[in-house]
Amino acid sequence: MKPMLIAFVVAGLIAFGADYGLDYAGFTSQERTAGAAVRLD
Amino acid sequence: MARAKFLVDAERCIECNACVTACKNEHEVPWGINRRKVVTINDGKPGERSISVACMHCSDAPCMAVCPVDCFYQNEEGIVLHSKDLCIGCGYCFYACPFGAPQYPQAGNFGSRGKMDKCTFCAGGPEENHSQAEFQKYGRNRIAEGKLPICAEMCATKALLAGDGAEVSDIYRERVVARGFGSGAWGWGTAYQMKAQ
Amino acid sequence: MLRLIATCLFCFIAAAAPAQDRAPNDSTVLTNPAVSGLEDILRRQQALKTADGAERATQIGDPAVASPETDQLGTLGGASDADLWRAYRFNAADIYTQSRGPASTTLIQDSGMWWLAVREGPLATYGAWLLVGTIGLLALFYLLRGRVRIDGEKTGRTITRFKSFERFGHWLLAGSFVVLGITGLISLFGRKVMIPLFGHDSFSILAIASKWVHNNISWAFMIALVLIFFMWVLENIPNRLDLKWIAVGGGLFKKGVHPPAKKFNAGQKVIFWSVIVLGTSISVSGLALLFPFELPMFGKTFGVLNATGLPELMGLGVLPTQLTPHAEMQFSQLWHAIMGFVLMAIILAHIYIGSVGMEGAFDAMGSGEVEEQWAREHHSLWVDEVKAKETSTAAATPAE
Repeated sequence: MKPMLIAFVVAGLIAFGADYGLDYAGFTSQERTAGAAVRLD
Repeated sequence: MARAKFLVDAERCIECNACVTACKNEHEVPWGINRRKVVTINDGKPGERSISVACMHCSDAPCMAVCPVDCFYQNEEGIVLHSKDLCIGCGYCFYACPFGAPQYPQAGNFGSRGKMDKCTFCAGGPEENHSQAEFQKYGRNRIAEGKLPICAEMCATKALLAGDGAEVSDIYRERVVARGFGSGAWGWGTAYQMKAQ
Repeated sequence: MLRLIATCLFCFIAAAAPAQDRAPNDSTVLTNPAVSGLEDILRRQQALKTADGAERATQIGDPAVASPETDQLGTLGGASDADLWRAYRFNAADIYTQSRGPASTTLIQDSGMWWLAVREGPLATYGAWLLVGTIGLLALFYLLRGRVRIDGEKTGRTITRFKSFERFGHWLLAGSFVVLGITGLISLFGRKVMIPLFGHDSFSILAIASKWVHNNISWAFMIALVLIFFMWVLENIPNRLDLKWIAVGGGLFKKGVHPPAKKFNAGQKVIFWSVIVLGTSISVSGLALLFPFELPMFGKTFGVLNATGLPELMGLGVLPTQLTPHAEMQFSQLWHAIMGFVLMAIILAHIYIGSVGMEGAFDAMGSGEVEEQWAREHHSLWVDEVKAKETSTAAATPAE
């Protein structure tokens, strides 16, 4: 049963990691739609 | 006011983008986001024409029908508004909208996944009129002040008309009659395209 | 003046030919019936389909054939506004805009209502029935057949069926898929089912959470999909034994029937390949939804399909290959959901047979250790392989 529980936890960790990672990689509307001279925040 | 409508007169629009700028300024729309855009066809060629496009506030709005959280509502003037508290930023309204009106300004994850923002016909949102919360989320509520949308009021050539649909079409009809052409002067293309052959 | 007369004459001749087979009270404009006939306008006002969409799409004017600006009527480029609007309407206009948002040069797209109708109609209806039907069939199977028991006497000995890493891969995929399935169903049916139950505000919170979970846990699903593919692909290559297994229905429908099988029997191979194929399809269309307008693929896919001639054989006609960015997203969403429904139905059956449906089956993924008698009944050849390996390794390293 241990691998099952570990897998569920890892799925959650991957989800948080993906959210953070994609933010970091720049897939935000700021990066996608705004030019160099344009900022959203 | 009866049914509120936008109308843009392609014979008058000069692509100055003042409507876009005025809108951004009035509502303090974030950088990189345009509630309104000016589109030019045949740029620099004979037959060049421009029109200004934003949310058309459709009678049977596809965005309202498709929204998974049902966050849209249409007020008695026919203006299509939405609640940013309910919006989940799924982008479905953009896929459904015929005019590409919805915008996603928040710097959230994934290309278009902030809370949706669009033209409100300067009518604010579900929050209390003139409240700070309403201004922050939806921009100024000019309709509640008894004014018309800023884009149309700003338009230097009066190409963009906004307001009571009946009055707007009266003005446009008068123009078309006066200039004798330009409202899809019927049959011209079909009649005169043969000239070139 | 001469030119005017010539034009009139030309129009008259052009109109005269089709006019002969026309009813006398038919008021359709004769010069160019494809473009602006009264009948056509009335049909559109009644929201009826006009059959001449393709022809109208070509009537978009052309600055190149325009009369010079110095001519009378020359300022419009020789084309009427009607032509101009048609160019907009059929996305043939040479459009420029300073707006830099996604798809900002597509001025009008009209497939949104079609997408909406499919999504709310057939997709939701058939999808729901598929899931309900599958659950119903499984319940019926349980009532008729009961739990598939271990027929022989239990030995008390166990064999290792799945190593812990294999189980980890399975549960990473399984856990993420169940969550993705539930959050996906919330997005599709929430407005219809859940808003009437708990109201807009509470549902919005749930929908925001389920959207976040759905978007992000998808990565766990994709990673696990790659893991299980490499872990099990060799043992899932179909062979002749599978035909025998299928011929007796895997022994599922009759007590005491146990066709021979290696590590995976034909039923499990079907599950494996449907997970791989459908899961990949769902992942790819899901990526297109995660990165809107970045991964258009349906126009190209339709082009490839058209080349095979299959769509025409199936009566679908030639599929469109020039899609608006919006239409790409609409097709991605529909395909994502259709494939999701099919995989959910298959997985429901998999969950059933792996838990309540069969005695001893859950251990394979639970502890990884299965009862030897269970293994002999369901995977006899695999047990022989394992035993042979055990004796050979025992022989190779003799006890001191």
